[in-house]
Amino acid sequence: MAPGSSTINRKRVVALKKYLLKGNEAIAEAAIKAGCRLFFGYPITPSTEIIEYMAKHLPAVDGSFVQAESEVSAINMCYGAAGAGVRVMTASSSPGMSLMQEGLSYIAANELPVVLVNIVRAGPGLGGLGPSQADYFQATKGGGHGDYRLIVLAPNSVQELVDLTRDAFDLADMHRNPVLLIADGILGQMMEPVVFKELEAPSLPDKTWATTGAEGRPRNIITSYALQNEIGEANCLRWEAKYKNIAATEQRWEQYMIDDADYVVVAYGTTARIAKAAVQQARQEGIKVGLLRPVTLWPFPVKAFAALGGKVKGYLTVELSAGQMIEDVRLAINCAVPVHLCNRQGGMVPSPEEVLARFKEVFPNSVEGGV
Amino acid sequence: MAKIIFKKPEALTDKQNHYCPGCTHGVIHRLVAEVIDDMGIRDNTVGVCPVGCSVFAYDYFNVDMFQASHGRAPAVATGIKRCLPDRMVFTYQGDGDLASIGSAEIVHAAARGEKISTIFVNNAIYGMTGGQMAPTTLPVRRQPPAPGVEIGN
Repeated sequence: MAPGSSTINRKRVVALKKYLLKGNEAIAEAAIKAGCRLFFGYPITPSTEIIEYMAKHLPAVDGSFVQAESEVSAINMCYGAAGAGVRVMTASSSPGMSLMQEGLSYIAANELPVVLVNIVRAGPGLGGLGPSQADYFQATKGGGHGDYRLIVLAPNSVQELVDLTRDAFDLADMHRNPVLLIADGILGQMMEPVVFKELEAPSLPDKTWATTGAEGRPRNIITSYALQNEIGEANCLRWEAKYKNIAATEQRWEQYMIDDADYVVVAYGTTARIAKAAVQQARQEGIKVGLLRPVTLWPFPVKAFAALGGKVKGYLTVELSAGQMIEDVRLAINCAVPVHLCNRQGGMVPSPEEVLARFKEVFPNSVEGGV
Repeated sequence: MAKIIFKKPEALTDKQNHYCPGCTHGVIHRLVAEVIDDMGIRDNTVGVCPVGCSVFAYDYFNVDMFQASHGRAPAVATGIKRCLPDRMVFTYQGDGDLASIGSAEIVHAAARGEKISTIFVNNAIYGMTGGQMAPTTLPVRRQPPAPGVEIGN
């Protein structure tokens, strides 16, 4: 269990048998097991296996799959289904996610639980199919118009794709907020053994707000629109308080060899696996370095950095972008020590050796006898 | 003893509407509400109002209501209806909404055979923003943003 906290606390009951699954299929199966019964999507590589799996398997559980005419339409179908009180998901890749941003802003404003998956392409523009983390800003800083936040989960294995997909549905219902699972072509396409854990369902609020027909109750209205600025401000204050609560309660991260570390490598998703290998190599050379892996990108795990206090001499982020998460790391430590970047872009990934070489380049004093 | 022979439909709220005199939205709302009353489905209906003058329709229809983004009402209605196939789900859309920005959503909802109802109110202009041309604007009309230009000639 990663450190940090969550309002979703589970007791494990039994472990079922192991399956060898592709990341995208594992997400889809985990979603169905989590009670997702509606899926609206539009095909796009490298996420298409998710919609194919849903199209094939949802009818068997009395669910419904619709291939929309566009991502614009797909996200608005999710908006409708979430408002009707049903667990719903969509999945896409970067250019498709861009098309969904308008609808996502409405979903956030109306506080509806929708789970989204972005198997990121190496944008901007059409973007290649190789692994990339260039959508970090879009995922964590907004993307659509207005002042809203998504809960953003960043798995780094097929097992974690399964576990976090399930958590995504519970978190969405718990906080009445859209949740984005962000991964890349490596995680979506690779196969690893997974188990689907039988877990206790957390206690979640009833969806008394759903528009299901006003039988036996006052009518429900789903809208965030207000011509009166006073109502507009009251809405914003309510959202702000919710986001502050999520930021305080839902930070998750994993740390590795960090207790005695003079330096810390920060990486999430695919690059965290590479960075871990680099940290292991560095440790064999006697370099005191650890790994901090954010599991939630929003809320960013600032508590993890606070817990390290002033003992870390420098940070290195490993990213498949021109450097996006590095800004949050600098904010988390208030720019107290140097933060450097090791990156590859456009679908390329660094090797552990490249990460270690970059580490030694920016932190020469970390090496015994270094200057 | 007086007998009530005419009254406001149950499916309308008491709120006075904001529409401009002569726009006929009030009449159309009333007709839709009378049908909902006649069918006895007020408690079983979800309405979707997108952007345009119809954006405040949720203030007037006394049923569960859902506010959609510009043009996307048929997609939102698809999402609701697929969850609740036994409910009556309707959209109330103007021509800027349905025939311009939302043309893909309405065409594909129809192509898929979605079991939703759409009330299409065509006044041949963008009303809420002040009378700009719409795809439905007829030839030989004068209006901003091209005042004095005869459209279609």
